[in-house]
Amino acid sequence: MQDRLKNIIRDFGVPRLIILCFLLLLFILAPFVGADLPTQFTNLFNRFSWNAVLVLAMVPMIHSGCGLNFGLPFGIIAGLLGGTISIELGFTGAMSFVMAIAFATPFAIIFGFLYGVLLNHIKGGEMMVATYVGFSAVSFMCMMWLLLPYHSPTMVWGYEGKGLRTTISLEGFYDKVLSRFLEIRIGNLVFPTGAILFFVLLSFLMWCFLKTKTGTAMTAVGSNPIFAKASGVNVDKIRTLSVIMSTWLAAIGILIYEQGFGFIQLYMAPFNMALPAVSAILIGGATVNKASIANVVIGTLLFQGIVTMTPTVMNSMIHMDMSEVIRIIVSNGMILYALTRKNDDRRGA
Amino acid sequence: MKFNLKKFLADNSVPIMFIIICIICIPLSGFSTSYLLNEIVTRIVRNAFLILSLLIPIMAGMGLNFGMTLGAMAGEIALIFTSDWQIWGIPGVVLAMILSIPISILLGTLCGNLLNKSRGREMITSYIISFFINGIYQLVVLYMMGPIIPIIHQSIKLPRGYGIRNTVSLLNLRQSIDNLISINILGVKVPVVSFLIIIALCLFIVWFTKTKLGQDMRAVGQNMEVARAAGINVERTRVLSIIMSTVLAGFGMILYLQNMGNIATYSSHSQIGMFCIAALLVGGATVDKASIGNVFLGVILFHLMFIVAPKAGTVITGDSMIGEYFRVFISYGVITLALVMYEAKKHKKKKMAEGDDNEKQ
Amino acid sequence: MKNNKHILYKIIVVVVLVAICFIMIYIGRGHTLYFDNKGMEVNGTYYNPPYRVKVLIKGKEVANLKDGDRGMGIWIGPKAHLELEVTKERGVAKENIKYDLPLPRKYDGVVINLVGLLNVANYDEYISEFIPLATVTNSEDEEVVIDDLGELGFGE
Repeated sequence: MQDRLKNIIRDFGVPRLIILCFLLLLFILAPFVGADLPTQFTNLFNRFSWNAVLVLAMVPMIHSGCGLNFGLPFGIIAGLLGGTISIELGFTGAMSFVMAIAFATPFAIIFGFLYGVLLNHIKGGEMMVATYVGFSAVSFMCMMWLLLPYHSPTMVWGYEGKGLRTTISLEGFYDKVLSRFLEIRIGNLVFPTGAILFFVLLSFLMWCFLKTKTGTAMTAVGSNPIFAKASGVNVDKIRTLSVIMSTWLAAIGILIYEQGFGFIQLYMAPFNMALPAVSAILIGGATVNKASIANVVIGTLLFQGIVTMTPTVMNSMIHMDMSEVIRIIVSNGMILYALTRKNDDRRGA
Repeated sequence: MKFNLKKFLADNSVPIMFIIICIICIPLSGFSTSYLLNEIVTRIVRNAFLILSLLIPIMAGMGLNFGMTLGAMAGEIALIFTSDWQIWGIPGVVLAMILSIPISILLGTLCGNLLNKSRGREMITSYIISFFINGIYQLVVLYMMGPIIPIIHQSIKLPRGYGIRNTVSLLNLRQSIDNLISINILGVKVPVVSFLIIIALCLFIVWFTKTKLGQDMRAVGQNMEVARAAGINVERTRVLSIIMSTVLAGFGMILYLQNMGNIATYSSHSQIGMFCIAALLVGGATVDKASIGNVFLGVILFHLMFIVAPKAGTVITGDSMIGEYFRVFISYGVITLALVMYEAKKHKKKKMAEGDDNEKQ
Repeated sequence: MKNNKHILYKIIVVVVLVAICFIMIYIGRGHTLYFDNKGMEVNGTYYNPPYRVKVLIKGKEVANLKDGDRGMGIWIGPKAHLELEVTKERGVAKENIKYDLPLPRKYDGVVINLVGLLNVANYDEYISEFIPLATVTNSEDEEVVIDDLGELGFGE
């Protein structure tokens, strides 16, 4: 009995347990320090709906053995291009969101393909290279945002008439188009049904995909590439496909993030977007080479729970805003924990 | 032996690319030669020590030590204390160096052991460690200094009573080593003592590679299994290489900050690892091979680019931000390129080894 | 045997480093010196300040004080070597006097009354701690910007 308990704890992971307990503690404390629980839950649901797809973007690459996608900014850039082009061409309202996805898709596929081919040449060192490919792409795009011929007055700097602004308001475009769709309001509690449904749809598609022949082949490539190769799977092709999927999901993910947040953030903003997503999926129970949809949901809830709850509870308890520091320690500690776990190195192999 | 031009170009593609960038940008930027020379001497004094601290882990096969940031943080904490105790001038610098040693050793041991647990992905792990420890550093400096760790002077504390201000002035420490003996050569101010310290570190590294421990590190770097078979304690050797690197990075950071004259408490260390690594790679180093020559060539070329690019960018495009972004892009690009080339080579080798195995069967 | 020797070496290194630390703390203590050229009473007699006093530290003039002036300089170490160039009255030849003045460790800022120093008063009478006036601290809190190693913009 005790052994079984120990096993459960070991499978769940001590850090994850600590985070879960911490979050529960925050929720228990919240009413005592005068925080309004419905508002807190609204915050949590909102943030969940913004970030979940970005976290979902981790799944394909982890499945195919490419490791954690630190190159997330690469996909985000495709999404930013889609969003800005859609606005530039004058689409408004819900249409602008559809068009943003439509424009982002070809970019995501091209970027993902190139990125996938690159990663096939450097098997074993994906994560470090991915990190810096992401950084290079972001800093390259910093120049491009200034140089590309955008003209829409809502997006460019007013006095110069060229060069995109650092933040672009989405009012009148796709601001909250998904969140407002079928929105449920009960007192202070607001549930962004549309955005969550969209995530559920994407997750369901992902789940279905992983059940198809290609999907199982992807899992096989990730768990045992030699065996997969022996049974006639084109390893490189499957890996490239997984990278394209990750990149596309990242592009869609950032568009959903923007519709919830209400602004497009350009220039340096994509820089620090990979780490929260990576740590969220790890908190949810994924490892460097194993991830499921459940990991995405649990992870995003836990991570965003901590992000939303710590400032309110901490502030009212000890009048110190330590939330930022706690977030840094928790999220990076989690990644570190996942990277240093030996037994995950070879699943099945 | 015939000089192989193609191979030479291929092996030195990054430095050559940078020389070309600099040759194009220098006339465009319109800076005078003496200004550039002065700037470069300053940059060498500031950064060379820090970059040299990266060499030992590379020798031990642990790749680019992104965890050098830990040493930088240790150095900053030591300097905050000396500044608070008002130990000024050279004694202050020496004291800060000694104070940084135990912190660096502690952090280096932690980092080394974690890297031993994540063999094969040391670089990404050391990169994340630097983020993680940055969180701990902020916890200590922003919340614990004051109530838990005694800080005497109000002037370096935040007005709210705990935590350290955004900048800590090192006015009375400023350039105390650089100005100790400085001579003027053709209008270029050369801080002799600082150069002597850097040369001493170079000599130390050269000497160290010849010691038993240095040879062990090399052996571990070339092939861990062979080294283990030869009776070398691989884990210990690897941890030691990281500790040495961290301690040296701490010293380097103190020398860097005494030259700058103030500590940006929450940001001084954040990019230091990043641009030291970029500079080393610009000098022609790779992830598994770096020499002292690479360090100096790297500092000169990288910082020359850094100085001239914004101005040249403004001249070419008429927008001052383009040059700024350009130099950042180049720094990241160089690191990316070096990482890709290294990993591709490793992958190719592995593939070839597998191919050989198949043929044998 | 060899191991014991190793530990011994390590202990020696640590002891030496700690010793250097203490030496550095001793010789590196920095003080801000404030020189007052103000009249004061020494042993019952009142002395007027000289017409002009120049204070030199390491051969560099840091203060040029007339009656009632205050000057400032810094000194690193436990004992300040000061050189005073005193002109007692207008037109009278100046006189150079050197002092080795021990400084109290616990004072960050040390106020030295030069008249007391020149007329051999008791140490406590002409040395006092400089207490900064209730410094007008900007009451608004400083905004501390922290982020995950804010990747860009190399500073400098």
